[in-house]
Amino acid sequence: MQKILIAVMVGLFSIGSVFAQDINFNKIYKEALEYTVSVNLVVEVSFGTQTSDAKSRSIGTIVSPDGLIIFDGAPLNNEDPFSLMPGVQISTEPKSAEVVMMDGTKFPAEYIGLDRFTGIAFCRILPDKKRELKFVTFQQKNDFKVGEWIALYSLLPEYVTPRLSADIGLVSAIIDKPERFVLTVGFNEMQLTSVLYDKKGIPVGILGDLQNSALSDFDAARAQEQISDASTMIPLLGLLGGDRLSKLIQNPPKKGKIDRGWMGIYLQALTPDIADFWGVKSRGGIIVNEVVKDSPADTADIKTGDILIKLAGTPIEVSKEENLPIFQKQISEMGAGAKADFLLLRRHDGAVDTLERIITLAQAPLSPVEAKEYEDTNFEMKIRDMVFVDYNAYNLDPKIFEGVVVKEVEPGGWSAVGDIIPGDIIQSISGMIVASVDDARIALEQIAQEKPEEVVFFIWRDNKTLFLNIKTDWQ
Amino acid sequence: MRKLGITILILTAMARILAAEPPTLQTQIYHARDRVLPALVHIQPVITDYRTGKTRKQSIVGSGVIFHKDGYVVTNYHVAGKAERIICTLSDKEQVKAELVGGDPLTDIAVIKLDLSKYNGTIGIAEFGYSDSLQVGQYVLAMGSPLALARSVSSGVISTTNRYFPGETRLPSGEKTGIYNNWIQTDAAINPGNSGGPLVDLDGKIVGINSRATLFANNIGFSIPIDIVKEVIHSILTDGKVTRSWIGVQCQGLQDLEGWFGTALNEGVLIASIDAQSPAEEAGLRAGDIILKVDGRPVSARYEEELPPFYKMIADHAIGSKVELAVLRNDTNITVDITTRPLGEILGQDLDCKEWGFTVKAITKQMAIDNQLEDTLGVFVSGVKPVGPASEAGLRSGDVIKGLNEEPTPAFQDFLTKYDKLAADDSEKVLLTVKRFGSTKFMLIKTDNFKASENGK
Repeated sequence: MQKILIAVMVGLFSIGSVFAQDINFNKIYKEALEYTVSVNLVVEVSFGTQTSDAKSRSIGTIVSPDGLIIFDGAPLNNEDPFSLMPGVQISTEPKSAEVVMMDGTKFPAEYIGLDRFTGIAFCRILPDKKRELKFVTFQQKNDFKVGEWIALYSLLPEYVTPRLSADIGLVSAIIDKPERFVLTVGFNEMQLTSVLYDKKGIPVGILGDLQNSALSDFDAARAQEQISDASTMIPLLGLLGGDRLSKLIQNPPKKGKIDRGWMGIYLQALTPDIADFWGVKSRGGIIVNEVVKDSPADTADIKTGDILIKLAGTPIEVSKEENLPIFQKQISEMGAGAKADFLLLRRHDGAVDTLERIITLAQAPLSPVEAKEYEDTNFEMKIRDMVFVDYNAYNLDPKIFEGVVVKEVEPGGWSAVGDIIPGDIIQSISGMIVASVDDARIALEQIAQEKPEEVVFFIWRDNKTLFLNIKTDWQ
Repeated sequence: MRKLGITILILTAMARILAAEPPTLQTQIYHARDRVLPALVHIQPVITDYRTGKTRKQSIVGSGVIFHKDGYVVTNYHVAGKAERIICTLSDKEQVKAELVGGDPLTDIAVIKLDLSKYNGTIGIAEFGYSDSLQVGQYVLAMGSPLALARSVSSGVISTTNRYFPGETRLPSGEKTGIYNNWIQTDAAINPGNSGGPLVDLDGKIVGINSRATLFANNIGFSIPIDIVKEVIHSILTDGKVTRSWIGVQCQGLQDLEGWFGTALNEGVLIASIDAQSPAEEAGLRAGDIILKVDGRPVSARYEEELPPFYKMIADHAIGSKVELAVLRNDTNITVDITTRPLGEILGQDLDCKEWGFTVKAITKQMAIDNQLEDTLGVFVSGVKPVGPASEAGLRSGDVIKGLNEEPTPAFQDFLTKYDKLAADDSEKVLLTVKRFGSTKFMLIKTDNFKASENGK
């Protein structure tokens, strides 16, 4: 009788659950060896005028037959929060990238870009034609339940063989707000972007961070706030699923070439406190703090103080500042040209009107990292075009103010010795007005031909202008 | 016979002079000490600090020196310029009270007056010398209360007579300083507490007021030249403050730029930048203009050390007076007439919004320029208490509050009136309209939580 009972119990367990031991790590390992790589970067880090090179090594995964690789963008993802502080910048583009296959073969890699919402970076290798590249294909949908096992292989240090190590975690929650996210326990941040496998050993996505995926790159003030608030820094690790990844893989981010929708408003979350204070009955929404002149929102008659409560008929349930980036991302992902159909509340004289407005989204302004750059080897400095946040942060009028932003100066170079510092805005060089890096390049090329002993730069710095005489030393 | 007598007298006198030993350095130092030390004052002001988001009283220590028989003492603005009460210890160790007469942050000078009504001793009075004839290498003494050690004397030489600090120099309270003067640098030891004390030559005359030192360096101290100090004292004793004219130009040394601008050496002052909404902007001056003459007098600033005297010359004009500038612009000579305006206060009035847990300042024209604000409307948040309704609402130092409960508060007085009313009404919720980094945010101040906790409920 007892034996029968035990047999029934064993039977029940083996039908109803999979043990960690039952995951076929051998099979996963063999596959993973084919498409897992290590991505070695050299990144330039600069604080003020001090710069230094830093090396980083992270796990990467080949995701297409033509050599596209995804990897953790953490070493490259640090500029935006600081971009408003001239002089403190961490380079966002690697100086060099190299990919090492698990068999030790090395390939030079071309860095492509970083998706700022997920923190995933992209590069590409161009192996010789003889070698056929294996790549991972992610399962598009998943139906994880709390308590299920989930596995990954993470990268071991270079001096260890083999280079991959298995790990197992547990699905700890299926988060549905601010967005659907399969949360896991048992993994750590060092394992970010490792491929995750379900109990059958099928690749279902990669290990991502909910906070990171929700962090908008656009509102720098907001990003700073997020950094200063320690509670939002605790990582929430989990599955970035195949559906989300395949969109990114088909259209990887490109430097200076993006498709992000933009309305042109400054916004904040409608918290229950403020809703209550205004006597507005809504579980959340977006308060329009300011409307950028001539922006899509301005054209669509959106006013400061409006509260957006529905987008395409779906309530905007943003009731906390932390959730704001979810809305920003939603708009961003709709892309330029898309029509955003809003229901909004407009308060006046103690009354509240409900209105409908359709905004045709425009292309989002470039962020400082996406701006066009130029590096001058004579003056040993890197400059970039001015972008929206530059004008906004310094109260400059784009209609009358022109210049290029100094991104880096090489210590000891002509520019550095001549007192040009990162964050300066160059307005003219030798009397030639520079409104873009193209202008600056033409001016600097002309100067390189004429080889004058001194070149006068007219600079904007800390809300004041000054003239700098840069002494040259042509070879 | 008479002649012989006179000759003998003269010869005797000469012999005496020849026989007398020249004064040694030691006797000269004693002499200088005796002329100034009796007038030395150890000053203990109580000042108010608003930077932590609440009014916080602080007792500090500085030095000063009596220069007038009525008990007037010169010291630094950063010592006594904002003092609420002042206690002074004289050289005979007797303590008396003092009150503030006036101060000038831009030169870091303040004048206080001792209350001698209950003092039975005799005060010493020190004399001012001249700073324009000082020489590098000249012996000097610094007197004061380094690290609160009263009546201390240190010695050294003048390291340089004309030190210029590029960029902005600010006092601990946040005011800009040192725009109108260069500094005397000395290696006579100057430490915190020496501030406001005299720098004395071997004649026992005050040649500077010690005001700052370089931390982590060996004896690199700086004094404000006494010639400037005398002018500032005169204004303070006459008007209680120093008024200056403002035209709104920022200049830079022309060194190595003469070729580009086509000027001769030591000719002209280069305008680097024009302040927004300034008389200079309205008169059409531009960055790159070279001022050749001011009211017919040639001016020049090849080196940056020449800039403070130039700024001072402009500032010394009567407010509202017309200044005639001869200007070189793109090889063309033009004349520009500018009517000066008052420079005004550097920092605005303070207010402690105690009920809400933050402090604000009125926004002055100079603050708007310094903080890159679009205008002077609203109030400037100078501090936020780490735990309180404002910090909970997300307010931060540097924010500008444009309105309360969606009613604009353009002037400091508007804000003050509304704050007083809302605080008196015990309003539990107040909506702030806040400007930060060029964008607006609404923040809701909720006082109820904090009241409950403060009452221990």
